[in-house]
Amino acid sequence: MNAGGAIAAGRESGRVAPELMAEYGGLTRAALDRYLDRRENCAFLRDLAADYPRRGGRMMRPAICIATARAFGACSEDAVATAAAIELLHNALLVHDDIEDASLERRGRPTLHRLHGVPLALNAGDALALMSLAPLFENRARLGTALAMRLLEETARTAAECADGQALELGWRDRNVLDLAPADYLEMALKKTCWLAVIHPLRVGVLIATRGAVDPDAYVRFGFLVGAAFQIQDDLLNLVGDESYGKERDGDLWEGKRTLILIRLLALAAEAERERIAAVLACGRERRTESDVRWMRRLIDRYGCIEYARRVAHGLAGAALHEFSRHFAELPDSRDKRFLEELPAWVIERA
Amino acid sequence: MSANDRFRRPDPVRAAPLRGWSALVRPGGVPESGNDHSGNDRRVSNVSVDEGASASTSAPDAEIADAVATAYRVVDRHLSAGREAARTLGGTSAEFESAAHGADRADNGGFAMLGDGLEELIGEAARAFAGMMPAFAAMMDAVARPPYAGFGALIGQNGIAPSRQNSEAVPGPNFAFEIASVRPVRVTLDLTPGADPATLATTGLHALEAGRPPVTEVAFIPGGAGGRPVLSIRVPANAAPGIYAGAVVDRENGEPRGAISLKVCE
Repeated sequence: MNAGGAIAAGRESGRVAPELMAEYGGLTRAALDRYLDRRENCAFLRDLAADYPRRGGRMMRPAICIATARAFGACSEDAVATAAAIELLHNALLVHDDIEDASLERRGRPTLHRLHGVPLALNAGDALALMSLAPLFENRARLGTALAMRLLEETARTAAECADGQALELGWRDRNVLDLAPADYLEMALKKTCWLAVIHPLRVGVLIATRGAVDPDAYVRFGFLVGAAFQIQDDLLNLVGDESYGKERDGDLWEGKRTLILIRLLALAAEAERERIAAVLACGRERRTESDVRWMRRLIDRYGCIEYARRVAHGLAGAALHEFSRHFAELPDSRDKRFLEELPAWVIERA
Repeated sequence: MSANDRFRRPDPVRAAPLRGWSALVRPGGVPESGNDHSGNDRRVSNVSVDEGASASTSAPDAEIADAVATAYRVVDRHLSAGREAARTLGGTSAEFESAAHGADRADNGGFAMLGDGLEELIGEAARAFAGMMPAFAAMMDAVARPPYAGFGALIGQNGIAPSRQNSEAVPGPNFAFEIASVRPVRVTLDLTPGADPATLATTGLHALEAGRPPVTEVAFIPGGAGGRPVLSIRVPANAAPGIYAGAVVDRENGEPRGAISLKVCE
């Protein structure tokens, strides 16, 4: 479903999430353009750096940042630079992740390294990561130095969490780690996905609005539960999503990612099946065959791993709603508060 | 049935609470707030994870409850580790909170990006950090907004946002703000290092636009609620939206000690 269709469907259902993400996404894109266009055209860099940010995307991260800040009393303008920084860092990490995962598609098009080669793509990713610092420094003028530095510190922590999570996932694949439990997966998702996708936007939104007067740790649980449900839904879409998903179908199996679905399969598979899965995962993507992937995909269905993961995602979304009722309920009613309340449902319903 | 017969109710349909997470969140949507048709609260609340995990649920429900309980354990362990690390480091954020001087704030030059802009950017980062570390001043920003009902820990009943609470980490006075205004306002107080709240004074806040009356009811109260110094500002109801600013001096010796900036919004 395209953005216009999603907004129309959202209006019909009384949900604000699609409309608000489009609105705050538009604000963020305008800010992004200022940074992406700032330099004279630099051969082999500017267009590459701008490629992923301009492919679209739902802009969930910046929308959470702006909505949280507004829900706590700030105006959009206070948060839009930080939202742009989040989106720039997110895109930088996507470029690097796609290289590390040898992914083929991103947002419906070939990945950057497939289009331009690994060295140039890597450089564009580095540039995007460094570019994400600029709006954070420019925060000084609007938010003051102390708060701007606090936001930088939060960003540094987020970057460290992301690197930790990505290292876990890559290490598991590199060493063909099979003895994993849901707790391992959730810890990896917490670091790799949840922190940048939800926790960080929430934290900086709260800090911006309250000028650091409120401890943002109170919102980590909500952010984690939403983010974990988001990641599991992403894993599910990789296996069952339609063309609008924008990534290679069954790409996680081709890449050997340790998703909750695969961990569940490894736990339920018979001994002989587990040995064959281990052998398939042990060889690199280039040596994995279509029949290997199809076989694993059938096993996933046979053992009900899809349904299990879906139910866990729903459970996490329910727990997120519980956390919302504990930590956000006393905020004045607003469209932004409703958006945050809708997030747990949105992340597990998105197609 | 005679009056002496004992009334017997039919056996209940179920004898245990429905605590499985999947019963609370149904596929295809998260339950809305409020009551369902049977009058039960459909919102996921008042059910602890431990209760959910230990409830007598069917096997699939128990698996989901277990997964949610695991999620809580993972995030709580992560939070504990973060807090421990922060304690060990002594709170680096407090250092960043210090030393918000006007010169830093006035600089909004922006940074050229990519290629040659990166050197400037990195240099700017280094300068910003270097300028902050040695100086410890108390800087308090406050945003006065309409009151948040029930949000008393953060915002007072009169819509006041107090300064940062981590007084252990921030050397220097930790001010509270008392602001009375019918319009939304934003107050920034910048003080030099070593400013003594007991001797601070200001002559009021003057509008940048000529001809507008100043905001004169501005006072420093050394021992306010909880012993914290308070900056009190009463904005007249007829004050025009705009920027008002004033110097802060030491009443003992007349030395400048900082500035107050007040933005009265529409």
